[in-house]
Amino acid sequence: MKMLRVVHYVNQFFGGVGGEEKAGIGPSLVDGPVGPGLLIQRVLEGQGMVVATLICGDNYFADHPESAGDEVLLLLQEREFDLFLAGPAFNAGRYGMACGEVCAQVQDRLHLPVVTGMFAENPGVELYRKSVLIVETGGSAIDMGKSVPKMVALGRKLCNGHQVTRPADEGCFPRGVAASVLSDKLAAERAVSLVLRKMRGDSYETEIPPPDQLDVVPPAPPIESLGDATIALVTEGGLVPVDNPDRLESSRATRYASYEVAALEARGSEGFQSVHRGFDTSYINQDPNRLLPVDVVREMEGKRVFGRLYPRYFVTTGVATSLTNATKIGKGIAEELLGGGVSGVILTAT
Amino acid sequence: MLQKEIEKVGIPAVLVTALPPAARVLNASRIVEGVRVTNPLGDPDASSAAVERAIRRDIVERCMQALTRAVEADTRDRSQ
Repeated sequence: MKMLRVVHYVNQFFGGVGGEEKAGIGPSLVDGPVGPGLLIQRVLEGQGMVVATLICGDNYFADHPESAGDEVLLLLQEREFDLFLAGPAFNAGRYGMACGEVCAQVQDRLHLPVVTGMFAENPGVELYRKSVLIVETGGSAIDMGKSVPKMVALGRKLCNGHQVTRPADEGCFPRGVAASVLSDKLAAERAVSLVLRKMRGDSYETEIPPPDQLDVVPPAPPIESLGDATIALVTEGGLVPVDNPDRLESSRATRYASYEVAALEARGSEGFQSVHRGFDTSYINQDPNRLLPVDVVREMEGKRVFGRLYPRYFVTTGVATSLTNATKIGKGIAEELLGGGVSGVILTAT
Repeated sequence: MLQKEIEKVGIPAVLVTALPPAARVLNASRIVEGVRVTNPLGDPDASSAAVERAIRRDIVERCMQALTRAVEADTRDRSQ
């Protein structure tokens, strides 16, 4: 088997150059392993070697985000190697960010396998786990003896062409990428099995964890004087004029549109239809009031239950909408509502 | 998500949904239960158009109540 050539990145401390006072030093490349690199070499057991070590001060990277990457790449281009390992950085924030950044650059620009290691709370994890494989480590260098072999093992697999489908299986943080895996059980069987386990109180593992950045938004204060209030209607039910003039998507929406409520009232189901592909839209198409309760709301407006119905309604398509787009769409609609002096919203989901 | 973005700018928004549990997992605040996914504010099986309108009126009245009532954020972990 060919000898695996590794280049290893460390900061000024692990590189034996100095402590905080040396955190500003720029990148330099030295031959052979340094510090934790010696352990890397030992773990490789004669089947590979650390051909060079890249040492750089933690502050240098933080202070020169643009140029530091370029400088590092320039140095690395002098060497031929197969695998790039950085850190492990454990809980050191600047070190973690530098490791993440260097790995991302090497991966993107030199197209070589990269692995780094960090503790879960290292800010580098959130910033880089989507682009770079980060092995989960303990909180300090006490974990060196466990972390380095994990990083090396993964590195070797990558060099052998291994495709990572579940980062957790490799001891890494999830990348937020859904990879298709063939199962011998139908989804329906797996779903029922999961429900039964949950009901029995057995341990279970969800196949799709909810996004972990779900913020809790403090609810807006209530409308003080309904009689003066402007109420607006919003929906993700995809109800648009039949010719879909703004080309609202039927799924995976990237935007929203708004149309005159008066037009909806005037033309009804002949003039408006839902483009939503996530459910049977026939009932709503028969009577759009089942989605946007315009008839009842107008009636209430007439009786002065509230001040006035905002003349436009807002619509998007809520099926397979990415969180990022949903947030973007929401912000856009919210801004227009604010500009329109809207006091309250009835939002119909489907 | 839409509801949260609207509430973030200070405008109360009530979500009419046939799936309140789904809305709660996403930390939605003001929730009013709709009839069915295919017809949140109506019922094609209602015995008459008048009955259907009454159902719709009832839901919209609940919406108005939700909009005029102070609500606390529900911070319970609903992901399990």
